[in-house]
Amino acid sequence: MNNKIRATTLAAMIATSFPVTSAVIATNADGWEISFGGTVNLFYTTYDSETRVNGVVTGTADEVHLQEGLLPAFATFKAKSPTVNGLTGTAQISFAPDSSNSKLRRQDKGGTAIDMREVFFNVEGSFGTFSVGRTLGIFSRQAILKDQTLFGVGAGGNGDGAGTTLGRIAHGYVYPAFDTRFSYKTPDMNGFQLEVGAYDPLEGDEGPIGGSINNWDTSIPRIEAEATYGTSLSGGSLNLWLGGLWQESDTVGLANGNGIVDLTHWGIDVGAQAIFGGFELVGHYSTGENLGQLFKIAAPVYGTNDTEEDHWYAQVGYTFMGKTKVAASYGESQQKDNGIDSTNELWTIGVYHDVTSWLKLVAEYNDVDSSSDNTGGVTFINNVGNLESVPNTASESQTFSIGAFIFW
Amino acid sequence: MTRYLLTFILLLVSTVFQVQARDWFPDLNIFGSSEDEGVVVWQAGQQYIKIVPKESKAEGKNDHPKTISVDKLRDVLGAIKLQEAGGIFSDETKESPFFASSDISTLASGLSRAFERAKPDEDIIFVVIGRHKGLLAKERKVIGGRAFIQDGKLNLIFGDVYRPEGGSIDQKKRNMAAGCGGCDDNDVRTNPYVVGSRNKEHTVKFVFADFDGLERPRSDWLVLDVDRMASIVEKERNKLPPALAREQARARKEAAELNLERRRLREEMARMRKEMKEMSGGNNSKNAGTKSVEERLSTLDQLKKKGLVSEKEYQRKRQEILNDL
Repeated sequence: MNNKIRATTLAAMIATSFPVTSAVIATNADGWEISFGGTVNLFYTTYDSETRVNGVVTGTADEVHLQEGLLPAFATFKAKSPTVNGLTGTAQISFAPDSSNSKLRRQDKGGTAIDMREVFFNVEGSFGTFSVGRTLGIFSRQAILKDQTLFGVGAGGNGDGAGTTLGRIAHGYVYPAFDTRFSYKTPDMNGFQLEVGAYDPLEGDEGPIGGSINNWDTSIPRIEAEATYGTSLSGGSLNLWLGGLWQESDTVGLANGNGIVDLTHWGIDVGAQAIFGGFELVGHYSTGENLGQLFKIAAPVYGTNDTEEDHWYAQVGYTFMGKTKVAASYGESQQKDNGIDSTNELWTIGVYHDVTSWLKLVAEYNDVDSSSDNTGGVTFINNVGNLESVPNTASESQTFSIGAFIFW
Repeated sequence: MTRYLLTFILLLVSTVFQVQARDWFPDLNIFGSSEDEGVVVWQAGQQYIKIVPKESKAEGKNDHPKTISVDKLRDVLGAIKLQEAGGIFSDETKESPFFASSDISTLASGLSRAFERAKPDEDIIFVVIGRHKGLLAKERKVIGGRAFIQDGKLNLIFGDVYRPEGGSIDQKKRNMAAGCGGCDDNDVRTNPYVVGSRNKEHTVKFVFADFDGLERPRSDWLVLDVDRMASIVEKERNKLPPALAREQARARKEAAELNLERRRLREEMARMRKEMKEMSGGNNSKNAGTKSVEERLSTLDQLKKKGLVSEKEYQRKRQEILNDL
């Protein structure tokens, strides 16, 4: 194969000067188009917090952080084939470096590690799209894609260890994560599309109190699926989605060494986004068992019964002159784990202004409340051998952030 | 149990709503329009050429069905040019092709077929994605339009002109920044490509260059006298400098001679294959051999009548065939 690239490095160097249009920066002799895109962001965040144990204040914080928001930086390389016999191939590799560093070390977050988030290829035809490799998970992805804090900070603005914040993850939805899968997506059927993926099953690291990482046995792939409907309205659009997740796991040593526990992880999420005349409304709800608050696969910590999770958020926004979006949202993530009930709540108000199509300025205020209540009289043996009740804990924090994104 | 029930009810309600909404809210056009139901003449991914019912308020009947050759349409579409400023240091304007070459090929062939099949109360709508000049390199851009023939003239009304391929830029940013390469950048369900409309002007930010036979009743609407424009294009093609014209004529003559020579070779090869087949038959009867010679003589006569072989070649080949007896 003659790969005589007619690329210009100049193109890549000055691509940041132009709008995000996935400009083709090179084509090879076989007609493949290569493009390069990316984004970098950084925020200045003030952070105040208070933590309580059994109602007694045990700590406060008044900090400032220069750190990235919910998103890391991204460098994305795409290749698209010419259409041959009705088949179009695309391949994508993207990695996510951090623009922020640790307060604790004079090095980047993971030393020399590079977070390779996406490595996949698609084959598309009139039959739909087959996709192979690693990219953002299907379950709960619409929730994060429609979330205002995607281009903001959200919760977790106290990241001393650098890396990203949480946004609304664990405060309205679970993290879709970057997982390896085979997936199939139908063609557009009058606005409907269905995507189903068979995933490499996740194995969690939850353990009993004071315990260690457990052994997990996962003999069949995890299934994630999503049905979407999208249409345009006069002056707006409507998106509806319905997703699901299912995985079977055998875990050893859970719940204070109670032997093997068979877990079924399942979740369903529904949501809608309506845009009309500058207004945007987003609603999302998901429910399931053994999902966790943060990740989509978790195990009970305080007993052998399945954990129950509910996540939801509502968001309203208005975009002025097509460039300045003002949005507010509220969401919760709740978990019931064998007598321990945990809730994370997040209020977010933000202004997101597109100076140009490639430069975005952000100002965001976040108010987080988290609590964990021992409603079931759960006890554990502490490190001096005494029986002790799991304490009620609570924390609240407020962050104000200003930052900027660049896209190319 | 409650959550299972809630989920089931949500599923049921959403399904019923999606099925019934078209009847409940016909004016909202939420669940597709008549344009979604057109007869597809050509489709490749998100590109298409469709025959659809004419818009409700559109006046006059179209001259469909109508035959316009692919070549003529190719010439006319290629003649549509944009007028551009010459540059920072130049007051002169320059012209550049409006359609990409792939657009022209697709549209010429597709529209020609569509006009032959369409009825008087039907239009043709299209979306084509070609590689157009970009700031750094060529970029894939969309042209959406509506075509129909009225009063003997081709009408083209444009919607999207040079829109970057795919959905909104915000959508692309979100997909890319969230690392959702598996998400559809080109999800045009919520931000569909726009074809032109008789009823509503889509301001086209580009200026179409003047051309004899081309009228512009609106910034997004071109009326084209196909015969007139095609004949001008043909004349322009023939209006070449003498040296270039001589060169082209010589090239055409050489190409014709080459074609003839190829044809002869093909025929000769066919003859040889046939002979070899007959020889490999083993038990060919005298009769079969005689018949073959007759066929060959007959073929040779036909070639001579058509002027494909000279008298000298004819005599020589004839003798060769007779020698086989």
